[in-house]
Amino acid sequence: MEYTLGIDVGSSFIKIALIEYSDNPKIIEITNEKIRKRNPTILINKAVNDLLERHNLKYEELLYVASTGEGELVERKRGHFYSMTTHAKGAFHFHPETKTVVDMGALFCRVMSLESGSRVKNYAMTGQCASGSGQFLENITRYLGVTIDEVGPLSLESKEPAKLSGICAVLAETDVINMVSQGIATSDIIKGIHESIARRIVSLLSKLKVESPVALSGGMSQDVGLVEVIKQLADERNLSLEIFATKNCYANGAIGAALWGGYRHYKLLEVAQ
Amino acid sequence: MAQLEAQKKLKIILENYFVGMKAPVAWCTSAGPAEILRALGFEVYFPENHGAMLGATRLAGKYIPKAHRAGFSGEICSYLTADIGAWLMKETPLTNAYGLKSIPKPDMIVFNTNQCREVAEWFNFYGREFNCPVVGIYPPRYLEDVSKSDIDNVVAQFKEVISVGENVLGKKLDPHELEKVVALSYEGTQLWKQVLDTARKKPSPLSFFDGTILMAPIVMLRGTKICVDFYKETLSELEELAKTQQEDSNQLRLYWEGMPIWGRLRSMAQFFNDNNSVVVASTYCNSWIFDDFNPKNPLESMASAYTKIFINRGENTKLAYMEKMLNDFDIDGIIFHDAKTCFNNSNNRFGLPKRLKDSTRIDTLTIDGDLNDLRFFSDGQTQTKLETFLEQLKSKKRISV
Repeated sequence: MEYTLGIDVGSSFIKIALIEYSDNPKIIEITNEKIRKRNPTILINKAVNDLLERHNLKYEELLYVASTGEGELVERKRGHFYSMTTHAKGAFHFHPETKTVVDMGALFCRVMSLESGSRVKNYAMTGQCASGSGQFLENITRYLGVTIDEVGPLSLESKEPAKLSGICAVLAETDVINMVSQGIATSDIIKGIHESIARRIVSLLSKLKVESPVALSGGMSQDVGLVEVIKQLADERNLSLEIFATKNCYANGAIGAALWGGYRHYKLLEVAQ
Repeated sequence: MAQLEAQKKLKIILENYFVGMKAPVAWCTSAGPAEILRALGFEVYFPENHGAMLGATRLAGKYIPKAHRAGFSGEICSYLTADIGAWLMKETPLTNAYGLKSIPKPDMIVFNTNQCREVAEWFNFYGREFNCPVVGIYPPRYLEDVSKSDIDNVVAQFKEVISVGENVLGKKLDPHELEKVVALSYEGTQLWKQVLDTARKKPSPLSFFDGTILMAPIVMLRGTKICVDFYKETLSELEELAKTQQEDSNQLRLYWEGMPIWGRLRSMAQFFNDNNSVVVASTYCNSWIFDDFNPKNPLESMASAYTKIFINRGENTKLAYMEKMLNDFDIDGIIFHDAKTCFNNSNNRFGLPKRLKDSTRIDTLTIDGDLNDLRFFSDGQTQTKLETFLEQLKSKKRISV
């Protein structure tokens, strides 16, 4: 059996995917490590060593080790792949019907429309402001005294979502502090934040005139509340899109990198022959 | 890219320029009528160059808050705020670089609002500080076509510059001297054009980031033989270099529209290099190509040249100009720099990127930043945006990532 490893270094989490590489690749394990102000390079080395140990594998036995995201932080790798390519590959491989991928990460959100399989035809991303990012959402949870895992279910409970500034993260944070002091329900504040982020994403979907189905990817895809609001807003704008998130889709970048690694390995062998 | 011999020579030229600057000195905007001032007998100093130095040395961050405290907004030109802040703190990078105690004292100040109104406030501030005459040229702005009456308007204002300059110096302008200076300006500007045009070759021997350094003489020494000789040598070196480079069809060729981010020149040059891409052309560097200079008709030709600069044109003219540049330099993608303190030279704000994409099918990207105030610039966000953009361009060009 042959194995490839994909390492996606984000600004908040490091995702690693170990894949059994064949014509029909299988995910063996995915790890997700929060950086928490630690040295990412040391963290990556430890996470890779632990992962390989759990599967009785040695680094040298791996067919290909690929990085994506902030790849320069990965010391032991054979190649690096750009993150749009890897997210598209990861999403498409296990759901070949996918026509559009939305990568929702800590720093930004990015919509990619695909053609001829996982080839990225066009893209659009959120601007400089952090208010469309996962990091913003995480910062807000601190004011509200909830954990990031509680955010999704709380949002689903909201009856009357609050209205927040959708333009500036700083203004939105001020809005949230005011709302807390006014006694507005936490669930309504959270859904308000979700709507603010979702509006940006749905605008990107509309701007690119994407096709259905739309696969969500990146860390925020695990937030059931946000996913629900994105679907609602897309429906309100009559975009007629099937939008879905899957269990492992937060790690699509790492999965895609591992898959591209295997592909490149055999392509290079072909060229050499 | 390895450092060019020309860049080493430039250091000596600039040292001689600053150290050798003697009264009478006139201050002038970078696209102002420097030829008149030189022909009158002034040495010419350019505060915008000083502003760019403050940005490139990353000292701007230290001085800008001082100007804010003096009442200048954080959203106006950060050349202005950095330069005035440095003046208020009685500091200049010229001290470390060339041992000068201060910036040169002006005997006369001239500005041209062909680029923006900020220069008027900036230069008038110094007029009050130094209690010296200030002459402002206010040309018609944002023109599609430049008419005879527009030229006449500017020529009349140039005559006022001459009159005030003659009073300051107590001598008349020698018309033959003006013709000579304009002839040298024309020669210099045409050589500068040829230098920039070497980037049409594949791979390009020159990048926008090299250009922002090599452009110093065409801004500061326009109308002198030093400038002409420098670009003759630079051109010859670049042509030689181009002959030795092997063609690389995988290299992406990009266009930069807007101001440089002075404090990030090196890191951005490195970034593009690492990603097998090169910014081969820019509106910014090309703005000092003045085809209209004509020694037989110095004032009218100067009025035409300085009124026709890109930043002073209407949106249709800007579109046509860029379409030609994209074609001439065989561009794969365009980067618009939205400089937060330079409204006038951020050309992404009125739909130009979309109109260009519609007419040329070339992809565009807008990055947020600033010429000098790095508080408006995020390294992480910019890198992510650029990587994504290059990835997309490579994918379209079918270059393997």
